[in-house]
Amino acid sequence: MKNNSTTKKVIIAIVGLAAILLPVFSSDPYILHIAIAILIWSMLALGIRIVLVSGHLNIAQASFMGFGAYASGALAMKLGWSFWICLPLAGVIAAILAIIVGLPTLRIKGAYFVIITLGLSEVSRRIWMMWDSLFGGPQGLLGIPPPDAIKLGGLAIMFNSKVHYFYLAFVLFVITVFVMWRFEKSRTGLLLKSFPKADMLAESSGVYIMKYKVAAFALGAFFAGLAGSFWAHYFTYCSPWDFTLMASFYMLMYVVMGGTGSIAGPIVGSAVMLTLDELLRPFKEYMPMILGVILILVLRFMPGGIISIPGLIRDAVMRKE
Amino acid sequence: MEVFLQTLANGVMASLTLALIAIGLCLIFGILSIINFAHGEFYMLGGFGVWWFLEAHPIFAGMPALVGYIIAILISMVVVAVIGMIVEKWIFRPVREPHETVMIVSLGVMLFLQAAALVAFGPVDKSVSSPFAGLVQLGTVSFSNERLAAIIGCIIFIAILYVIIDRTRMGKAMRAVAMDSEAAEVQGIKTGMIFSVAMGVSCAIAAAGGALVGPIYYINPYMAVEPIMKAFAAVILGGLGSLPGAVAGAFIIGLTETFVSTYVGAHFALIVVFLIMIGVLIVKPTGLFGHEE
Repeated sequence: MKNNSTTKKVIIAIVGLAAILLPVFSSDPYILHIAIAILIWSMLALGIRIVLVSGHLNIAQASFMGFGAYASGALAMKLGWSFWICLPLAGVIAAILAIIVGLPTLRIKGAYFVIITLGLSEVSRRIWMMWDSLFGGPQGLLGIPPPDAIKLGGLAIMFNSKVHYFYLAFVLFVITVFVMWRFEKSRTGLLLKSFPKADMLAESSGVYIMKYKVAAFALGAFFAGLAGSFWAHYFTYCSPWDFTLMASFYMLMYVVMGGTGSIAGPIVGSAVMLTLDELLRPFKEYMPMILGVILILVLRFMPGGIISIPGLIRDAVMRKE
Repeated sequence: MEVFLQTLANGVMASLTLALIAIGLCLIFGILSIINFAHGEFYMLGGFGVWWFLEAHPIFAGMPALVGYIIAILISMVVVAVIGMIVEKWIFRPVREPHETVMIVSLGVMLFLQAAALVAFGPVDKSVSSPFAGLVQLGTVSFSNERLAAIIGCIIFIAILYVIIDRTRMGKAMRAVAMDSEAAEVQGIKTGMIFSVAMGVSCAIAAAGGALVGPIYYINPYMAVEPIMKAFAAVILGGLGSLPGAVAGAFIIGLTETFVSTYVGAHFALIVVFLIMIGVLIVKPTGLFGHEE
């Protein structure tokens, strides 16, 4: 058992180090862009997973990302606020929205919540389209300023190259993983995991389950808001077409592909699927079809996701011996 | 006043189509306990069905237009029902527990069917020339025969469904399974077959909805995205699992949506529907006709 956790630590250290050093090995903007996307999409996927472990399916994660992006973009453009204020505010706004949506729907089991999030994903797009003066209508917000430069002694980070964005994304990613990990290890997290199995039991033993479910949902939305804010300032642009239901499905697929059992799952899922997505670019129009088939097959035949493959191989080998 | 009556007539048509989708959703939820996100795609396939038989491959061209139209609708319904039964038996049934899994699987089916329709039929809007030309003049309000036919068609299908569920042995068995599938199984009801029948019937009436109304608006791979959302709202409003509730919910949503789009704006309509949905969940989480489990 101890051996296992040491292996895990070593793997995390190696992967982390490789990630930190990535810009040293490759300054190719294309590679860096994919790396940034993997980091940001992992944040979003982790947010879906934390709700999923409590037995609920959030298919509006892209909307929370969108609200973060739009809030941050609008504040920076209309009020001239600094990115470093807009970033946390975007997360808070997304989290407040999640609390408003979650309070009436997470009370009831399963079905209602997912339908409400489905509705939210379409309604949010309408709001951005309709509200020209604030959100720029169908064409979205153009010319969102990049983050203000940070000066650390003699070193100035100007955000004029992808490398700087990469490190910012990396920091956000590490914060997300750390918070998710602490949250899951905490009493709240352990309770959350018990809900799909023993909702009634938890309730009858005096656990006010609503509170924990809403907390998990808000946490996931908070990081989606941060991711959205980053994305808006990174692209200096955001539009209603960036945060659709389809985008949420992709995030959900990363979670399912990687495996819902652990925090590593959605990260591995995002990394593998985004890389695959780049490789399969010539077949772009078939992607939703491939995606649909993958969702169906993985849940049927490999419910543990990619992350369970080493275990499955080990089992197979053991059985042979 | 004219605008009002016109809107009312359109609202009734929209509500009835919505009811066809909502009833199916509700039936599937009641009997199979599945939130089926792919349900709207069966409505979409119904629309493509009539297009296929009337425009793309007009094999009934020799017949009187009305007969050809009705045959096209019926064949589409049967084909879609078979697709639905295959999906239920081979894709949904093996992953029925836990409920999140089957929901994600139904999302996968939805994506697949949408993309498959896109690849097979292309993204361009299709139209079908209706066999019902002309207008009915009711006082100052004119209403196209096409829309009137869709309304009558929807009412006929809802009535048939009511008779099946309320009056036949099969319907009784379906209600029994919805109440308690284990107890029903003990009584000798073949639940597996009931699942298939329920899925088949639900998909067939969704296809009927698409076949009746699709030609009036447009037919494309994404035509079901909005109706399915409104149908979900209707089902929540009526109470998950209650068929009269689904119909009532469909009317509330359909009429609200039509009036808000006419008088306020199209983007606003869906937002209002969403707010109604949230409002109902806050005030009465079990919906208008639902009951505590």
